[in-house]
Amino acid sequence: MTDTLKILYVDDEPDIRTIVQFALEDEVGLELKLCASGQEALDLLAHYRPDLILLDVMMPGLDGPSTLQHLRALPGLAHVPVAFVTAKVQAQEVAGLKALGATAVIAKPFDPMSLPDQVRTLWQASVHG
Amino acid sequence: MLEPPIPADEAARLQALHALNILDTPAEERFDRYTRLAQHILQTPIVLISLIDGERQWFKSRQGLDATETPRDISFCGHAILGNELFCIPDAAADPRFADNPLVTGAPDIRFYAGEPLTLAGGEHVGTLCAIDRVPRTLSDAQRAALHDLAQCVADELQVETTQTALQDKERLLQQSSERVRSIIDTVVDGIITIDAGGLIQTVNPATERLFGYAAAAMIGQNVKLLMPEPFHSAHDGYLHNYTSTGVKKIIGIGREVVGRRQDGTTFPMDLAVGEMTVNGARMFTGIVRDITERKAAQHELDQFKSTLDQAMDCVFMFRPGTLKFFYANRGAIEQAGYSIDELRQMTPLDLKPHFDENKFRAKLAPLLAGEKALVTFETEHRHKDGHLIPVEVSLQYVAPANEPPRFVNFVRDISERKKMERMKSEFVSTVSHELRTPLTSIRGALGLVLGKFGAGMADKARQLLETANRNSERLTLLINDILDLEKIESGRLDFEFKSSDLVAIARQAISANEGYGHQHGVRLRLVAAPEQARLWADEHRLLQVFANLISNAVKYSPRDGEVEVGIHATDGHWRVSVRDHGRGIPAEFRSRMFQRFAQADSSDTREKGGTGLGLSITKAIVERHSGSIDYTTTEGQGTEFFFILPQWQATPEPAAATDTRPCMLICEDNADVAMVLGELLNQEGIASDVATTGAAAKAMLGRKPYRGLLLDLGLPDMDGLVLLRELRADAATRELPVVVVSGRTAPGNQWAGESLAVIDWLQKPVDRERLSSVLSHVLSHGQPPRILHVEDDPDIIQVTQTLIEELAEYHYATSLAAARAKLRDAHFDLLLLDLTLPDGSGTELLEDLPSDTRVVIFSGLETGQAFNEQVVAALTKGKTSNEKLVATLRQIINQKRD
Repeated sequence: MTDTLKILYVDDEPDIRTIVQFALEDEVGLELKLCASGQEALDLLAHYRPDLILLDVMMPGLDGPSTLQHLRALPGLAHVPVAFVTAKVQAQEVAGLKALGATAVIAKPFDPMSLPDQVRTLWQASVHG
Repeated sequence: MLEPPIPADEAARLQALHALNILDTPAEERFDRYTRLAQHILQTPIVLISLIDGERQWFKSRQGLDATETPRDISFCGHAILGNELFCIPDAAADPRFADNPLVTGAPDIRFYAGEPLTLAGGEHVGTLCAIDRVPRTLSDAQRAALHDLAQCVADELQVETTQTALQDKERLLQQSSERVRSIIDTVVDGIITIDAGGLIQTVNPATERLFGYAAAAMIGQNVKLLMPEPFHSAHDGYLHNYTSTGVKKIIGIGREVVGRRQDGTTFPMDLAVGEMTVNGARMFTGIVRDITERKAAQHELDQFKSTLDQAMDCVFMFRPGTLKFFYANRGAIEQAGYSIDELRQMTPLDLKPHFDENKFRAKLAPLLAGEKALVTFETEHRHKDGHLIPVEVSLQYVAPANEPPRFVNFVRDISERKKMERMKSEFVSTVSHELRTPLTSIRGALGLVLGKFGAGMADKARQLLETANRNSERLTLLINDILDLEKIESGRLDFEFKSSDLVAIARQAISANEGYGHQHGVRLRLVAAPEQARLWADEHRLLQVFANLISNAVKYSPRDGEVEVGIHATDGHWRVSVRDHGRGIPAEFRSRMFQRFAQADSSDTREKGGTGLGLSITKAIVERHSGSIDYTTTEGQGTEFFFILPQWQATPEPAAATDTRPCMLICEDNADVAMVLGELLNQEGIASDVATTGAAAKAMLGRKPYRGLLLDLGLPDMDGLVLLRELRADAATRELPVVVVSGRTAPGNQWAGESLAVIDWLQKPVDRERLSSVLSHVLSHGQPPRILHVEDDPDIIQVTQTLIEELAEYHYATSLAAARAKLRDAHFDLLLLDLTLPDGSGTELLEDLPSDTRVVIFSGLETGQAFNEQVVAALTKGKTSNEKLVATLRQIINQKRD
């Protein structure tokens, strides 16, 4: 583990990006980048390699699952842990998302104050799991 | 002496004589007066009317003789009846034929005899009128003529007798017969009326009086149209006239339905039959009328039933219990099925229900036949004649009226629309809840952050307000979750994962999970009574939800420093779980609404106690899905006990090995519960299993029957599992046996004491189901993954499906029919996953020349209403089938096929 945990958060809702930014920006040891669409994220990922990616599911254009599939094909990203952050929280939907290869599914609405701990736990689990 | 010869017509003569019925009857004056007259005219002392019977002559009338009969063979009259003329013997003593006759030589000393034959209308000489004297003599011509005439009178008199008797008989018979007819006419329920050619009523029977309400006297002599309402009333004269002048019959001999009019003016439907007859040369008509009011009413009712049935939206079929053959279908049913009634009569419900075979269907009928249920209702699909499937709700009733053949009445309702609405509703609820969550994420996030990061520095009031907002955004989230849950439960789409579970463990887990909540409210949670273990068939996650709901309710309504007690008791085949608080109890006026949605004891509770008001409805639904029930007892001021009752686990015996064609694995595990859970997991993968509880038993069982694999626990009572494994590997028969270790121990690597254990996998308890099922696929495939060809033109679906099943099988795809055909030509595939709508045609075209061992799963966006051949083992609908379901279906099919 490097000293800084690099996180990419992708969501088309600016308000939610703001919340995530506020929740994570002051955290020591976390580096956050935000993208407003799947395509923007793929463009960024062409030259940026985060330690953990958080993806909204329902987005115009490339949605979360499609973004996941595309980014897996990018060099060096085949095994990067990816979690979906979604309002689709029914058991069946969660299982479906996990079956796509997601490490975890974080339900919206989430508690912003515990989000830093949540992402750290996620990352650790994916490293040691 | 000459005996009198027998005349040629003796038989007819005797018959005519006997028919007179006169032999041996008493003397009668009407005959005696003739013999007296003859005595007087002929001046002979003896005159007789002698009738010649077979062996004797008998005297109907006699003057001057005491004897009533003498033998025929010595008779004079026997001679006299031979001719048509007077037979006269002037002196018998001088006549050689009679001189030695005992009647001549002795009493009555006959010397003179004159006998005139008595000739009947048919010419038969039945006897004589004869005169006898004791001295010889002769008769004058006048005397002869008188005797002749007198004989004729006697003969007439003899026959008068016959005619009169016959007449009396006839009269008597006639009288009897007419009495009989009369009594029939008087007692029949039909009215009988005779009219003359002019239409005037001649006679009526009592039934006519009853039918029309007139006394007979009021009808007789009246025109029969008295009994007819208009327009029959006016038309009748013309009709009768027409017939009598032209002979054209409209009703005579035919009968028809007409209307009768009673004296009180009311009318009634009647059947009228008219016959024609001639009495004393006069033309008469007889009308027989029958009141058919009841018959018409019954017919009307029947027509109404039939038309109602025909117009009903529901389809109504009826079929026989034995053959199951339909014998009735209303119009709706005929339309829905697409078959004619004649076709349906050759069919059974099975022909319409693709999801049923006869055993399954008869199992539905059994409780009806046994009288255990009055109605059986279920949802299924009906197949229309053209092949498309219709979602239907079927209600079955068994009807067995006395004197009628028993039948099943089958109501079928098309629920396409309802299904569509249900789908729309659940999609709507799901969309809305998602849409609500997105802004809620921002609100809750913003509030959380403000409170979390800046709350400490805020004025108390500001912080309190923000806390209120934050708390309510949390409540809103819970509410949305509950609404989703409830909607899914109601639409039956909430997936339950049932398995053998321990209720006690679930209760302990629930208590520890809710201890924090209890602590916040200053309430202790306690498991007060429970057996060591309580096995049941349950979805643990959902039962935890039930416990959480009941415990949090109990906590909320407990006084501070109170205690909530959870108990589990065994009752007759069930577990009774209770959650008791010592709170204020449930107010009486609220009790009826307890399990309703959004019900809370009062609206202030919502604020004070929190919660969504949906918890108990969800709890109840979950308990009911576990075939259980929930209720409560409460005492105001003392507390409330909620309890639910769930059936205990009944281990169902696996199907007998002889009939179970599935692949079978051996489970070597000494803990019966673990073995049961493993067995159930295998069962869900389409694999049968046997259990050995010791290593020795496992070795014995492996020797008796070939198993496809072994699930091995290491901690066996009689030996270490690894020792058993080494023994198995040393035996040629089991050297290659796929073994999966299921153990609490961690895997030591695939080596043990330098030996290769060759285990397929090493699973740690508790067993991860996903991993087990992928291992099982591997075991059953002997390392050779099955080949799946996915025919699909949407690249995204190909990608997702590939990801989903690449562990399960070797995945190939084709995006068109042509490409699929090419691949099928080149290689063998175990399974074809088939989309129906492809760029160059329908996927079904591939079904025709597929290898017979290639199974097919339809996976299409279309609702597959079609019937496919038996190679098609499943049909899944895109968008309605979860990824898990798709994978589970494919895995099950692959495992079965591998056998």
